[in-house]
Amino acid sequence: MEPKDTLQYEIYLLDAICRGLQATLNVDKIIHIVLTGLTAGASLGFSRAAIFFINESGILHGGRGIGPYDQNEAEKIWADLTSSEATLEEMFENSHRKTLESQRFPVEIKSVRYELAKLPVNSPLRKVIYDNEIILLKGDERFLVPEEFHWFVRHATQVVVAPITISGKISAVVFADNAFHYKDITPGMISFLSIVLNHTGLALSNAFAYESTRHNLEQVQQLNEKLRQVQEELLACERFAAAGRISTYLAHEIRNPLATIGGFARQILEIAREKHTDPRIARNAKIVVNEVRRLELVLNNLLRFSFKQPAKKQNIHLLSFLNELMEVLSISIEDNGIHLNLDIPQHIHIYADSVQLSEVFYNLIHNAIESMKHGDYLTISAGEENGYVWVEIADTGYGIPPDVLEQLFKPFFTTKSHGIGLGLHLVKTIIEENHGGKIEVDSRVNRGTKIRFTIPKKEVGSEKNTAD
Amino acid sequence: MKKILLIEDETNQRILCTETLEKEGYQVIAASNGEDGLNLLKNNDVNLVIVDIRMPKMSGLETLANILGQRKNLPVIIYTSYPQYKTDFMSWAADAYIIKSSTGLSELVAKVKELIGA
Repeated sequence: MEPKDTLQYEIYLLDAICRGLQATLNVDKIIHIVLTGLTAGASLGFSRAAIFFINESGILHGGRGIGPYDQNEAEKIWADLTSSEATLEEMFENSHRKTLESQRFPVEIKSVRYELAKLPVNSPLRKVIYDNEIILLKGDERFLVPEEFHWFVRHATQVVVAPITISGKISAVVFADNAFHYKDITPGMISFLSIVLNHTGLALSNAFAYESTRHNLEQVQQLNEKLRQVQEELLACERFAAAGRISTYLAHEIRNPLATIGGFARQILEIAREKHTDPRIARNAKIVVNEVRRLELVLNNLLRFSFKQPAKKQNIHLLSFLNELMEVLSISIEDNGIHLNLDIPQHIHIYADSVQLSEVFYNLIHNAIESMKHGDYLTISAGEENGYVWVEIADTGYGIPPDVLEQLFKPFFTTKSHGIGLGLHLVKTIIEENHGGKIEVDSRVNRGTKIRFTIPKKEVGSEKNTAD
Repeated sequence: MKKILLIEDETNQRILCTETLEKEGYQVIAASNGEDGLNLLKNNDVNLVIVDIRMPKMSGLETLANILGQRKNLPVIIYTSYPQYKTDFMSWAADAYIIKSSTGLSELVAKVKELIGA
């Protein structure tokens, strides 16, 4: 291109760059347009341009660079540029431009970091960053810039360093040089650079303002989304609480008539026994008693009824307690063809809350019955050891697989199609929290399950309030 | 024969309790609300009161307060299906707090025997 065309070309370039900058709010694209524009007329203008940003901690760090890294790349890029028919606008639009760019130069630029606090008093960079001046460094003056920049300034004979003001503050610095073609940087090129960088500063101010607005907007949207989620959770909680209140209400409403039914059935049972009437009456009354007791157990588990109450402990004669309990349970034991073996020494007394203890036995014995088949054995034994009473409930049923065993006492864990999975959780709470005891399970698949719990014997010296 | 005043609003539960206690050899007079109960208390020489908590008109705890106002040392048993009132300090004035259930009745009988004998 002839020198007389230079001004015309510069005006064309300036026009294209300014229009490109006005059309975008994207920081990356702005930088791309500026650096591409500055190096577009490479054979007559700057061969390389790089931008560095100043961050809040006063670090000058590499942003982006365009241009060849060495002589070979320079020749290749300029040959490609000459043969390329792409317009400037197309180059701004990027895609094919990448293939023309050196990959090494931008990578090296990106890795530059320099702490501005270390800048010597006489460094020319001070004029740029603190006095808002454009400087032209010729010959050895190039090496007055910090060492971190020497690797690239040494490829040129002249380097311009210029500031960019973003939102009223010098926030970036551009290096542009004449590497590999070594043509002089003219005052016209410096004016050109100055105009381009003024526009760049404005464009970047807008872009950063837009970015921060968008970021704020996104935060507001995220907060809104969070708020919505919390509201939904709250609603779900309310629904859950309402369901809880309804089931508590229903459970209480059912408990009352159930107590009446069970009470009358017990009376019928007693009368039938005394009068020696048709044995089916006693048997059927016993079934009613048993079923009512089972329903009460379900409700108690649901309401976590008994362990809300402090244990009202008293010394209980274990054998009579179990005999009375078995009176009711005997029907389902007999009906399932299970052999029951009670091995409880006469002298054993257990210091416990009788209601809670019966819940423990009902839960454990019901579970055992459900895991056994016709002809299996259920053995309940007890003894004393080191200040504790131990009770063992052993069945010869199906046993519990190891993976189930791990979760056995977790609330709402169940393997049954019926039930809510609170029974064993309740048993553990009653034994361990309410009575200071311990419960353990030992089970082998197809061999059976042994559940053993211990409860501390009554402490000596707390003799008052003995109820039996 | 020891006389027991039973204040219970539910008819069936009242019959059940009355029959059970009578079978144990007690004389039972029954009321279906607190007001009637207090009137019976005035006109009878009662040895023990069994009172439910949730009742129409006068609540059980209010009834309890009135009973103790009339007869300070009279043994009282609260017999109810609501465990939550157990922590109510008024209910501490009672001698026992028994939760209604199909097995609660035998507990009730045992408590009556403990308090006033057979």
